[in-house]
Amino acid sequence: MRRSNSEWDFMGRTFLALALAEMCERDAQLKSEYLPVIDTIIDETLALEKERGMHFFLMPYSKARPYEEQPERSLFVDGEIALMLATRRVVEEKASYKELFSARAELIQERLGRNSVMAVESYPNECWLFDHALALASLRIGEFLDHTDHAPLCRKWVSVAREKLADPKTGILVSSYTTRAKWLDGPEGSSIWGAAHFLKFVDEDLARDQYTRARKEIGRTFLGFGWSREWPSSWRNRSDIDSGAIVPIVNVSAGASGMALIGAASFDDADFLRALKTSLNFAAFPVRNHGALRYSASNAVGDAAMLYAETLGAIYAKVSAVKVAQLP
Amino acid sequence: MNKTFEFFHQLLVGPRALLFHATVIVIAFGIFHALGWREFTTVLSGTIPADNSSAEAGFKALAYMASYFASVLLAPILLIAAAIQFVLKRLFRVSKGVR
Repeated sequence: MRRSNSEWDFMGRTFLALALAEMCERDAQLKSEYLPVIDTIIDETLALEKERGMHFFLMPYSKARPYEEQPERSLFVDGEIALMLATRRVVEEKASYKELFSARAELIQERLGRNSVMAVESYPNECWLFDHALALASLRIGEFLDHTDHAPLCRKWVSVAREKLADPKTGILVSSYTTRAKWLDGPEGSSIWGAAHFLKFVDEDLARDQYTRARKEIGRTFLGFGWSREWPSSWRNRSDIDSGAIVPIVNVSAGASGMALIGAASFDDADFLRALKTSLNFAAFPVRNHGALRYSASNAVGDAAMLYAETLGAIYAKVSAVKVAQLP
Repeated sequence: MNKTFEFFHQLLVGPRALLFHATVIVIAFGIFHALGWREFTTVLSGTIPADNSSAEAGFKALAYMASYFASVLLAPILLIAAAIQFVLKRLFRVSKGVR
């Protein structure tokens, strides 16, 4: 998979670790089997980052020019590592991961505070909504774990996002922008569905608003089949590797449709989720073998994302229950 | 002219022709499936299977997908059309008193 996209190697790890953590949280008996797997994923990822540097998990253009902020760091890498560490700790605390998470969370906070629009690079002068949503979600989970308070920071980010990143025609937050919040890509399905899910940890109103808008603008159903467009009809953009294949005329995006599974599952949109799964079983070429299921049209990161879509919810319920309990 | 038209009609869209087309589609799908070309559909996710060029993978993926969708969407329609044509022709011949 690294031949196609180094990011997918990294995201596959993240989604698999998150999915296994969700499964452990739903069924404590799975901990003995899956916690070591999660730890292996995290430890290997950290070792590779230390040995090969963050660019190992980035596409080649990460080295095309210097990062605006120095020393260079990628929110994509920092955020997903922080989220894996935090989620693992929700299932069961691990002292060494507490230190690692705290260090990573501090880095994220520091970078968010560096500029007025709280835009942190994943690539040189390229900031991604999905990465910010994920990183902020990790900070919110950190509040649950370590009794820290990131609410002011999250509120500020939400305010900036609403003001600077919302597409005026659809209201959907754009997928990528510069450190000065100049848009690079518009609202995209391969970003917004997943971003909306992770934004639930940050600001439920914004998250649900984004899901509702995405459902209206890019979610589609027909005769029981469901899919996602990559862009709203009001926006035209070049496709990127995250879009996957896009079927013309109906503008079905494989990447966006896969991420839509996460969105629909996260926001309890049972009808859309059922329609998406119908499309999956019809057009993604399922292979069933000794009780296991995979989809030939998918890849490792797609499979991990689908597994996460099937299992998510328990971590959020646990973290948000504490948030609710803390309300006056 | 009528005979020529009738000839090509039977060759292309007559009941036997439709049955033939449907059979060819299903057999083609069966062959591609047996060859394991399903695995190449991963190109839809932007992933090229190892030890394959993108052109080769793309060709196999397209061939598999085309035959699959033709099998599940087109072949049944062709079979139903063939059956309808066959029944209508029988009814027409019976009504004309032709056996």
